Amino acid sequence: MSLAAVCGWSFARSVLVAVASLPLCWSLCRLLTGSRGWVRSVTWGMLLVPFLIPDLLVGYAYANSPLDWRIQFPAVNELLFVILVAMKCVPVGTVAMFFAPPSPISAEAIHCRRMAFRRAEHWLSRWMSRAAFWLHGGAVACLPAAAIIFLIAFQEFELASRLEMIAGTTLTPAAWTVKLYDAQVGGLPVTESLRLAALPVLCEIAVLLPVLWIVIANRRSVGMLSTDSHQVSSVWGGCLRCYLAVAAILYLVIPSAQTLSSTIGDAEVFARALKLTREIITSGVFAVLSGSLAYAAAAWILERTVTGNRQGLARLCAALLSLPGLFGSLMLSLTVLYLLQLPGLSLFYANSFPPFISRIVTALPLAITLAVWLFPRALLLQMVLFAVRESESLGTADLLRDATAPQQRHSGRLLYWQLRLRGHFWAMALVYYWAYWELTATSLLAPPGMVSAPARLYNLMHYTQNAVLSAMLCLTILFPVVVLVVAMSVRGPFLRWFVR
Amino acid sequence: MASNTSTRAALTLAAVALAAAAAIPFLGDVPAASDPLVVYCAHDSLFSEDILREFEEQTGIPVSIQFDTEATKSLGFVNLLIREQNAPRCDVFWNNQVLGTLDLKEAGILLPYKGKGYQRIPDEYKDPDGLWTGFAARLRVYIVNTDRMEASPGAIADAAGRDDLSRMAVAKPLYGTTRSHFTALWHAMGGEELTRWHHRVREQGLREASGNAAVMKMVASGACDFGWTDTDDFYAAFDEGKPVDMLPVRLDGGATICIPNSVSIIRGTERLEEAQQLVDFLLSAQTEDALARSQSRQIPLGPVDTVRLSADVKQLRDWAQDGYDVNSIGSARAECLAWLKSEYLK
Repeated sequence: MSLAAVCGWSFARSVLVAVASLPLCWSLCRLLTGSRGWVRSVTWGMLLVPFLIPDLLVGYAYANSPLDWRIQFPAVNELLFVILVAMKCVPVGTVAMFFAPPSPISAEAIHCRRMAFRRAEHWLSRWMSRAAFWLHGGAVACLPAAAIIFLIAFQEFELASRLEMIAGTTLTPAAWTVKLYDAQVGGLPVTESLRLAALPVLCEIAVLLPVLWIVIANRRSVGMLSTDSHQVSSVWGGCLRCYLAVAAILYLVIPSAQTLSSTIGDAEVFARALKLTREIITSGVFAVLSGSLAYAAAAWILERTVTGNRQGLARLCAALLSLPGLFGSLMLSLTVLYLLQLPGLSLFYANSFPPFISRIVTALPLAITLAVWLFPRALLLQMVLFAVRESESLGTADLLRDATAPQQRHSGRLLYWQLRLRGHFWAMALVYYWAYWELTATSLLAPPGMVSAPARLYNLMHYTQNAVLSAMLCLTILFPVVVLVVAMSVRGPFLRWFVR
Repeated sequence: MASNTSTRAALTLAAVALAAAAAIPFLGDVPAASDPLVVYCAHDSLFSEDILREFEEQTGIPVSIQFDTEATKSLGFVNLLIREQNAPRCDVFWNNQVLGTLDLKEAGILLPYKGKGYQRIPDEYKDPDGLWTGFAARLRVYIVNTDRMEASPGAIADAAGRDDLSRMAVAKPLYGTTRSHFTALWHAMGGEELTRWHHRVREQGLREASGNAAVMKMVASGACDFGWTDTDDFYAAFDEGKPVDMLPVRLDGGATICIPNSVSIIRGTERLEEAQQLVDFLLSAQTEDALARSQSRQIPLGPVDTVRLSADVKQLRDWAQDGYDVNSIGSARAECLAWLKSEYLK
């Protein structure tokens, strides 16, 4: 299959995934708004599992089983890929819809419109009227969600790479990302790779531009979607919970069971897996550096979109800075790789400095690329946090923090943490987590000797599935969890310094 | 107060980012202040890393290793080295085969070196000018699932002659040793015949996987009955107790396809003496012996203490005696690669 054909196939599949996922996302939004207490927390947790579980773990599990069906029936391989990708996209689509601005067109307005034009108009006028209502109402929530789902499905790389199979003349799953990555590392000059990438980029632009426009135009009205009038029935709610359970089984239980079954309780295996420590720390350091840069830049820009007298310019900057990251890490890395070969920038690539300096200089392209890739994610997370913050309660917390009694100041600090900082803490944790697991950029841009854990695991997974490799995967997954626990445990002293 | 909090937030983020940036010089696989020998290593990291660390320990020369992406094997490094030729980062290239190294030789990227290691390797596995030297080889073999079929030349010929080839697996031939295999076929059969054969077997439903290890998994699990792979991948399945057996792939005329590792020094290195030390170390009997005793059972090409060799390696060594001459491939290399690219990278 040519790249154009593969790209067309990827596009069609991504559109299908986006369209098929939307009703599910909408229903899940309603399920979430209708849930309360621990049920709501569990629902949120189960919803997010497929997006938070690293693709490497999932690919590792499914690339090796069940082989017979996947290999003898290409359609099964394609179907498995589509299901896994759709399940990964649904949480993002749901979150995007959940935090979409409420429709400016009220239910009453829709009803009046219906009543007024029920019989009077030609069917074409009725449909156009409905489309116009939808574009100004539901589309504000649906289109960004659909676009994000499309982008994630269209840019999928790790799963596609792990599941790829050619049966006779049929390639499944046909993914342009794998084709382009293989072509690049297989010897195509970067300029040629970038030329080939024009078609997928055009596909992405065609989807991104209108959606970016909608997002920016509705920037002030970002809030929680109003779905109170459409609660799910108990039967449909049960079906949705079954879906969440199946997704959690496919994404968490099966891969974890496969990984842990050969390693659990075997101290020697874990001891051998510790060889990966250096790569894990490398990933962690790059994640923290690039994640902090991206988060700080997003906060700075976001602040300027709501204050000062150049808000329009700030919004434009936010959109322009988001674009490179939205094209995905593969496109971004290829572009950086090309730039590094230009005479003026080659110093970031070669050992032109003393060793100590050279380490930092040659690591910069990777750190900056990761930050650029993370920027739109960091921006989106902060927009959501901005939308849900409770200003009045924050005022109360501020008053308490200024109180003379230590106990009240302590309560003020805790309240401030819950209302303001906790959201940023988890948002930053998520940004770091994404950077930590990024494979494409780290494998294309890492300087010699600085291999990231995902890149090393991805390589090792080509050999076999054994206990040591599974243990390495476990350690790589556990590391961010341990860091998170440590960060949570030093929250107290940090708060005392931070919230004075 | 809000601005104080914002300032503290900015300070916190800046401090975190600075701390991470300050840690970067200490991340590499060698001490920050040292100027390491940079090795691009296309050989499986599971086996090669220990060898290189042993060199480090014996000589005190720090080595920074860059492993290739396994999906594309040495081809990625070959292209990288060609791209970097004006400002090379690599000092020594340890390739897991010879094909890409021959491309580098043609591009004028390699430095000649005929040290004591070079002397102990037979002529058919080294460059006459010393631009590269082969060591520790693998063989291309048929891996057969013994629950599904008999591991004999006759049974394989029968299975390969069927109209439906959906039970046979090979790796994508653009990369790795499968590319060497196809180049040998191109040389032996001629380009036209190979192209015809390739189109025919694809029409017949041949299964192509991302690499030789994937082929091994497909056959070991019974999803396919037989396939082409390397001896090291075969032993990975064999050692796990899978129902597999192997036979060497033979070209018309009976030659086996023996694929040695190759090592070469990159032109422009500023650590020539250390690079030469590493080349001698890799070409030593000690390294060949270590690789022969590893799980991959690589075949020593130079003289080693045969008493220490396992029965498996002795068998492989016998088959390797029939190996085709790597230096004879000539123009087949470039022609075959151009054809494969037109098939897989269009």
